Amino acid sequence: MQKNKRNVWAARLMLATIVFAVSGCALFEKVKATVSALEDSKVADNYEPSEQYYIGRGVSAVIVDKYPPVEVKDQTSEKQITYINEMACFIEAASKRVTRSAVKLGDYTSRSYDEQQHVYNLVLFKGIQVGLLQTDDVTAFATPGGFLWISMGAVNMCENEDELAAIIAHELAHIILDHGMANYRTAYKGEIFSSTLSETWFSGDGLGANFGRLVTTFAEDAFKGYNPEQEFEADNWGTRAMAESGYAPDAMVKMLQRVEAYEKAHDVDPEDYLAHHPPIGDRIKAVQDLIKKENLKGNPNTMTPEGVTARNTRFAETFK
Amino acid sequence: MQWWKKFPWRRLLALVLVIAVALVVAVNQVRGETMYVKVDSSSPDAVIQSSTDFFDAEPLGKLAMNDEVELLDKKDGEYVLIRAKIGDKEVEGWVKSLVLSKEPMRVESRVSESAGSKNSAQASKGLNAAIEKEMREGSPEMNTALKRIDDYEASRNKLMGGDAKDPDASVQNQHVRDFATNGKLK
Ligand SMILES: [Zn+2]
Repeated sequence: MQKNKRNVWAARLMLATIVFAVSGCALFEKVKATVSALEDSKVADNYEPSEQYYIGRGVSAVIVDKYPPVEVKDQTSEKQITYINEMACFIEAASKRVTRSAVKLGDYTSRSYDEQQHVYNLVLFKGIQVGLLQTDDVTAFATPGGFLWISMGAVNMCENEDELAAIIAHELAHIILDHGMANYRTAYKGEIFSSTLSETWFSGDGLGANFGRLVTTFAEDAFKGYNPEQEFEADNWGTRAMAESGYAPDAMVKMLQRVEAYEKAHDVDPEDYLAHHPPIGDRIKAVQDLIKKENLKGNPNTMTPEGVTARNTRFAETFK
Repeated sequence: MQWWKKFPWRRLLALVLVIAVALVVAVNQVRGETMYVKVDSSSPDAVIQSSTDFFDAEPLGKLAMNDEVELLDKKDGEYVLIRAKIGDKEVEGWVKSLVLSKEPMRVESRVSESAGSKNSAQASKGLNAAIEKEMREGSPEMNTALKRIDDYEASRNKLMGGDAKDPDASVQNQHVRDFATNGKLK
């Protein structure tokens, strides 16, 4: 049993080496490699909820350093922050029954059995907390510990509440399916790497500095985006969560079509972006297939004309 | 012949033994397993609910990290029935099994002996406010950035839970229910 486990970890080390070599992370200079780091990295699967929260705070700090947040300073911003937090907490509460199984989340996912088990045990220390970023860029980030950051550009891209719910549901999926931590485990195998930014911000060998290097590297990874399987998985979970919470599942398609239009209009650098994102057309098709296959029509009780009007009115009052 | 010589001492002893065993069994059945809370008191999942339906449930009390609860022998989907001491009264209600752990959470730093090691498992285990403070003290840039997160969390807590430092998860859950009702999502 013990030996078996060791073999598994040896295989993972080889895999991590290959991933690292292929991904060619020239940006990152490995600070120090230790054999025991690999052994200890097993522990990285067992972050307690409070620890994920502190990682999330650190990663969020790097995010808001790059993209200043919307500060709560008047009635408008109060209304916006309240609205978006209520929406995210609602979708999270309503989507409890949505599967976390990679097997059921479509053909694109590649989570291992261990990762799947880990996801089933994932719990958020303080629940979901959503912040808005001032930038007009269409962008969104999700961190461990339940922090979710949505740009005003992304909010303004949406035509109605259901489309904004689609963005929230997609980002929520990245948190609930633990994509950020999964990437960190795969890419760095529990070791700390330093980047130009982390070396500008931190010096010395203390625990505080090492923690700083960890969250900085993590955030820089978040800026690069998730891998294609994770994007498909998040679209899949998000669309199911939309159906479960009473929103129109096909608002996910409309939202993705708006992203497609935005990408075309803004000439998004393919090398920077497409390396980590599957072609948006493939994502749209995967969501359309899912809606058809699972017959996700949305709840007739919530899709009434009064319901749609109530949601669209409050969305317009809050953001337009 | 004296009466105590006729008295069935052995039978009495056997009866006492049977009663004692029955009592032990009964007490053990009443007292469930002790579990510990994994989440902060501001988590929506820290609220003990009157039922397993989030949208219909009444809040019965609020748990905090490492609170001891007694697991009762009843489950409903992802929820379990528990008994907990809230203030000076005992409360029975439902929480998600996910938020309970057999072991208390370790809030103290687990890393002091390995200072200087650049291994994230070591730098990160026992991640807590103390390590964050150390990180802030060593980096003015990170300190400024984290001040923004402090401000953001405080204003968000105030709006959703009524208090910047100690938001009430029951208040937040009511916000969420109202959001659903007003948007005709329920
Ligand atoms: Zn995504």
